[in-house]
Amino acid sequence: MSLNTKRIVILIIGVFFLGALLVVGAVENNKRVVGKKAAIKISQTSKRCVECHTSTSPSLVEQWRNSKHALRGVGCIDCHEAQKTDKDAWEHEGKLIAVIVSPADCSKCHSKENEQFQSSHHADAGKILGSLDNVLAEVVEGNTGRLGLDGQSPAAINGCWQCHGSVVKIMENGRPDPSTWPNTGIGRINPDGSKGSCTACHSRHQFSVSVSRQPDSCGKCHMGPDHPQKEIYEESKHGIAFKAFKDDMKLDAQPWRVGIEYTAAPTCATCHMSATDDMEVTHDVGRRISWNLRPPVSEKIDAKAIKAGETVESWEDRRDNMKNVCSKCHSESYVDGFYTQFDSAINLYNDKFGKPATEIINMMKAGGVLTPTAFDEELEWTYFYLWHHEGRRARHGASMMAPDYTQWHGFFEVAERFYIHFVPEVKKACRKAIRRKGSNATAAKEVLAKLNEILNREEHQWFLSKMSQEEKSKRKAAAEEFKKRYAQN
Amino acid sequence: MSESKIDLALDWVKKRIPVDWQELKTITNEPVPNHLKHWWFALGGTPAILFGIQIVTGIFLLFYYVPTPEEAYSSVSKITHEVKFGWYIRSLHKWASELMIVTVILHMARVYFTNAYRKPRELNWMVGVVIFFTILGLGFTGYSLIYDQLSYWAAVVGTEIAHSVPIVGPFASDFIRGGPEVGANTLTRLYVFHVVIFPAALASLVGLHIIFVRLHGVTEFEFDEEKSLKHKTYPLFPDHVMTELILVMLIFYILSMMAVIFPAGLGERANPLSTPEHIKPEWYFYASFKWLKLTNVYLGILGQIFFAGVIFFWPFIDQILVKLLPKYEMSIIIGFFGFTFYLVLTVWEAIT
Amino acid sequence: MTIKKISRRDFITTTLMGGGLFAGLVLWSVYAVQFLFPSMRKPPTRKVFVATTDKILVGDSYKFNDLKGNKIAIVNTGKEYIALSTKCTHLGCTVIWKKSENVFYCPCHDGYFDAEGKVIKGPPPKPLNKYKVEVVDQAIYLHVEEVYSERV
Repeated sequence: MSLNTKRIVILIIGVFFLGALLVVGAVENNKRVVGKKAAIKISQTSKRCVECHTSTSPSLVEQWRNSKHALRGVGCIDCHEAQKTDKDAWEHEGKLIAVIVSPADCSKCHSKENEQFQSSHHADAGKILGSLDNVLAEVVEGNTGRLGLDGQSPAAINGCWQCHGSVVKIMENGRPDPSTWPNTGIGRINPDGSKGSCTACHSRHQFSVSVSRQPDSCGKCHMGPDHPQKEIYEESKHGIAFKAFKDDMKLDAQPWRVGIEYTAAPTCATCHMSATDDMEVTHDVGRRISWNLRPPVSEKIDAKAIKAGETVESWEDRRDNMKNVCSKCHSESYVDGFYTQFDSAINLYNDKFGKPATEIINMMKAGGVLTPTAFDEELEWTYFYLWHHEGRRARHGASMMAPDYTQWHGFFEVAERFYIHFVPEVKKACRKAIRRKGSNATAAKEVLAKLNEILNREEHQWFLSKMSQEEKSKRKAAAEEFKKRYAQN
Repeated sequence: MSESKIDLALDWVKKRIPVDWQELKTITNEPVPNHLKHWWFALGGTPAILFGIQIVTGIFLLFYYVPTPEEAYSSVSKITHEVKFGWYIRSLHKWASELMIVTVILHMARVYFTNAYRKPRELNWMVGVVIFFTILGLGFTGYSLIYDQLSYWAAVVGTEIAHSVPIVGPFASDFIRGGPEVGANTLTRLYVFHVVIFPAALASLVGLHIIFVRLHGVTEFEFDEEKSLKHKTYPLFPDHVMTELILVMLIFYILSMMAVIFPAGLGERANPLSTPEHIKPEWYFYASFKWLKLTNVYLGILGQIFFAGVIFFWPFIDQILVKLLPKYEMSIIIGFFGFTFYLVLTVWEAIT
Repeated sequence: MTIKKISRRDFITTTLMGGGLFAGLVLWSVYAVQFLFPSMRKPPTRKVFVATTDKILVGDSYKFNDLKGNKIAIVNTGKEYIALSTKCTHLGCTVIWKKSENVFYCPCHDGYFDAEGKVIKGPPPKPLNKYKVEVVDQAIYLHVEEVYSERV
């Protein structure tokens, strides 16, 4: 190799070396301090817990170790400590602890969240005693007597209460009664009197905020035939976008504001709780809801308070809060248009099915045409399905833009239930009462009259073949046009 | 012609250092035998260059490293994570050490298979073997200074093995450990060995090695294409210096890229109360480690001492073999098997 | 002395080579210099939980160790919580909180600090080191220097 060649080779390698040094410089500048395994320091007491529980419940400890609590130095005893006056305090390895960490305990450091949560309907979820659902779980489906567990219905213990929350009872020895615990229902009544359970959404012991932002968290309870919010979300464009762009959602970010930290899609939390650039996070899930879609007849969310003479946030203000979130992705006319459509669907359900059916049932109950025992007659089940299942599906489907749930799981099934089951069953029950000429015969006649009046309304007339001629020919023409699509016609 | 300013300055210096500058120039520009134009003869210079790099990067690391059990790990962590370019200097140091061992083994192989250890170069071979063991010592002590789990337990295992050597073992292990168990004394001792004793020894030995090479001349080979050349040598400066410069730049480039792609990492902090499930030494000790696992204590230790002895006294063993079996190239055969054996044990340990 | 004659090709290659080597050397030296000068930036801190407010009553001093094991005392002065290093600024002994006198006392050479760490009496030259305290709801947090890679 000649001298000159050597010089060129040195030059080339030298340039490569320079390039490597530039890469080194770039790496140095991009070095992030975050992401390394940080030292964890907790109190001596908690260290003892960790030492023992690393072998008895290793995953639990590891989850805690990966949590923000561990990073901040919050250890076992900081949450599980108990005073002698606590009902559920018991001595474990020389320390007084409580198994249940209630929202009151969490509020030592998270008081703002707890305050918002306590005023929400989530916190009241456990107050379903005396409701129709509870009658179902405790009497109709279950038993609190000989087949009960400590006087509670297993159907409720394993079913209803696991979402709604139990009333935790403490036994003589300070340990919780197995019929009421384990339970992390969101409306659990804790031994210290506080309402709710933070772990319902912020699963322990990692308490990761990204878990609570996932639709699956809400979907543990908000799903199923009577309120398929999770399924509705997944059908909707919102859910599709979430599934497609989940990697862009930055579920771990703090703060987590739609339009700023993430723009790909909304989750349940996005609309119902999370922050925007001009709205703070709220754990009061009712603050952005305008309609109460739960009861047989939907009403505005502040209606009950107004009736009781209380001052609460008006439904208009709450709707504006929700619109604040919508507006991060949608234009004002789009959002207003949606609400117009949505309101019309609720009003349709209310006026066509909800109110009439409820009026009929109330008349039948008051007049003794229906027995005072709930759910002992087919009509009661039919009515229940109508408003509690199909009726809710139609309303929820409309509320979250899931056309299939609104229509085929919704209004279609509401209509079928109403016309093919409810109406004939009412007629049958009333005619039976009239035939028997008992004390309820008069009431039965009034019911039939009412039913007739209802069915003669414009929206129900078709059932009595009283559609206007104009309407009939229009429908026929459309049907003929449609049949031309298929070869068989 | 008028004298330039540079010449005036040089004259000033030359007048004050009474040396025959002309003679110096001639002596230093020693003619280099032609075969050194072949790159695989550069394998000796490469570890020397790397040694220089280790000294420089090592000194840099010394600015931040603290040799106490409490601070050692933290200081290494600080270098790796907090000090600017600390990760780079440390990674250079780590990869240079790995490369140094690889190239020194290749150099030994080259010398061995070209029979360059034969008379009159036996002494130089033995100096070279001592250099090799010194480098291994540097590797062992250097790695133990990190004081993570692997460091600590490797030091424990290493000193236990030393303990098992017959007669001198217990004294040796006590000396290395500075006591009955690995602790603060051990760390400071290993530190002294790594930073002062081994480098000083290595520098002296390498100096001696190069002096021997210069005195004996490099074993001359004549390749066919060179038979016709008029000159059997070529100048050190600038030709061979440029060759070495290429080597230096190449090494710097490779090391920098290794530092970026595979930066030196850090295991868990040393915990004397918790032995990790898998303890492994550095890769160059794999063969030795595997050998110990396969044999009992005595055969393991004595076998290795025997192996080291064979390597050290090889020129003389080779002499005997040549006399006994002149027809066969025994050195090549034995070398081949020995080398393969080392490789097999190394790979075997690596994959289990 | 005449300047040695050098061909244009050789001149160019030599200059380029020298330039490349020089650039590499300079950049490497820049990095090395940055390595040798310890970072002037403030070290990263982490907010750590100490205790709930009901555990540190007025006039009490609560003992806490930071992530490096340094001993800290958190004092409730009634108005606020103050976190001080208990390392005496004289020769490094650990100071003791004397609740009755509302002072930190160093037994080694009779040094006295008030509840806010200021020197009252004795040889200590500077006030006790202060740590930043943050109170959120009923939780008391401290901002301490970050430490990596250590398991509980």
